[in-house]
This record gives sequence, C-alpha cells and structure tokens, in this order.
Amino acid sequence: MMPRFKAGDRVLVDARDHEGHCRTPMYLRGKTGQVRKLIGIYKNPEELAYYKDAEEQPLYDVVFEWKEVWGEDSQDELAADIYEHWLQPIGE
Amino acid sequence: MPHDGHHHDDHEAIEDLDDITEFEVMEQAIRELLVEKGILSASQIQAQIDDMDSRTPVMGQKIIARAWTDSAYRERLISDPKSAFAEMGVTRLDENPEVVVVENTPERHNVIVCTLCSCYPRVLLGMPPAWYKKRAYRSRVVKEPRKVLSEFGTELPDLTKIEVHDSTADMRYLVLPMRPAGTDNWSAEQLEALITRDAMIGVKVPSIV
Repeated sequence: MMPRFKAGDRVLVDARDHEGHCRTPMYLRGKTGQVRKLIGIYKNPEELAYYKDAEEQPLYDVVFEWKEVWGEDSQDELAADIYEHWLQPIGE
Repeated sequence: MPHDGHHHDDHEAIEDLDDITEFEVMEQAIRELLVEKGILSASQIQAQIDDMDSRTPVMGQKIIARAWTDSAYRERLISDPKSAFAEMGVTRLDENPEVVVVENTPERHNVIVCTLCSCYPRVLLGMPPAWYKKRAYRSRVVKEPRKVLSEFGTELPDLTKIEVHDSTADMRYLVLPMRPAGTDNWSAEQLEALITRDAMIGVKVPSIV
C-alpha cells in the first residue's frame, strides 16, 4: 500500500473514540504533529489483537511540540508511533 | 515435634486462592488448552519463560560500550540496529519487536516510556523495572519529564531539549547515552559498568562522579 504521508508533513491525529485495543494514546488525539519518518508497514493492531485478518497500515514516527500537546511553552518534544488511519493531512 | 492432639503448625497458606486474578486464571486455562491440544508443549513454554528470565541489561551494556569505542559500529547501530545487534550475538531478534536506537547529544536527550502499557526493548534489556510499568511514571514523564528525571537524580541543562518517546506501536526504543568525559582509557568492562539500565531508558545519564 502507498503511504499517504512523507517526512515533514503536518498531520492531525483523529480525536475520535475507539472501543477495544488501540495504540493511539488519548493525550495525542486531536493534536497536530509532524511526520519525522515512515517507519514501515504493519498490521493494524486494532484487528490483530482480536485475531482478525488485519489490514496493513503505514506506521509513522510523529513528533509533537510541547505547546501543542500541553499548552505550555517548552523546548521539549513528544514523539509517538501513529498508524496512518489515525492521521489527517493538514493544509499545505 | 510431639503430635499433641490435632495441633497443626501455625503457618500461612503459601498461596491464597482468593488472590488469583482473573488474568491468572485465563492464562492458566489457555496454557493448559494449548498443551492439551498439542499446539505447544509444556517444555516449550518453560523454555520461552527461561529465555525471557535470562535476559538482563548486560547485552544492552555491551552494545552501547562498543558503540562508544567503535565509531563504525555506532553508525551501524543507528542506521541498521537489527544487524548491529546480531553482530553482538543477540538471538531471537525475529521473534521480538524491532528496536530503534536513539542517540543522546548535548542538544537532545531521549527518554522512553510506554504510556499505554509497558513496551520495552526486552530482547536487549530483559524485563522492565517495576516503576516503568507504574501509572505514575507512564503518566508523568510525558507531562513533566524534567521533574521525573530530577527524581532519578538527573538534572539536564536547560538548553538540552528532551524528547520523550512514547512506544505506542511496533517499535521499541533504546537510548544510546553520551559517553562521559574522562573515560578515554577505560576498558570495555569499565565502560559497561557505567551503562546502567536506567541510562538506556533515558532517566539517568552515565556519570563517573
């Protein structure tokens, strides 16, 4: 499958709810970050956890600025690995 | 000991059935079913447990010490960690999640957490410490990392950017700490002793003072 994002792209993590196993932490939902790199293509853990025939999803290393996540100024950063089906593009 | 009537030794039950959690019951039931159905043997399960229990941070220490003394290896460790681990004799890499090596510099300090559970580079470091799995660490280090690090005795310069890696998915993270000044002539064994488990998680920095 063709990854939708590339390094440098700004992305928004979906703020939706999800029932059951999920690897997108709550504190990053609805936050904007920047793709640092495409890690690879992996089976969707939300299905894999239930032994379903999981579809593949690109997985990205996404970096978030402190202020975006916590609203406070800081030079520190957060990074998390987020699957593509949780990410939306942000205007160029 | 005289058997005076029916007085029994006054000792605690070794295991109180009430203390067994739902997960333990489930684990036992599934394990017994797998063995009964011939999918896994009891000895295979035990071998896997022994393999996991035998892993300690020693392999991580050896790998980092080599990266400190061999710059070509250091580059391979960052660009192609899997083959760099294999070179040092780490086995079962294919059965374990991939490990990404993140390098500390004067400008950037890395610290690792798994806010969702307890993902950890077990293939290199063994089982995670109890605090790593605790809610306090998992919830606080993403919110107030400098305070958490200072509780570990780690004070970073204000100009050093902290990057907190939340191991949310298929990757596991290993911190490549900075080699302390004044260790130029140290042997591999001396260097390895500086490279603690906590330094490879990023809550501490190797120090010779």
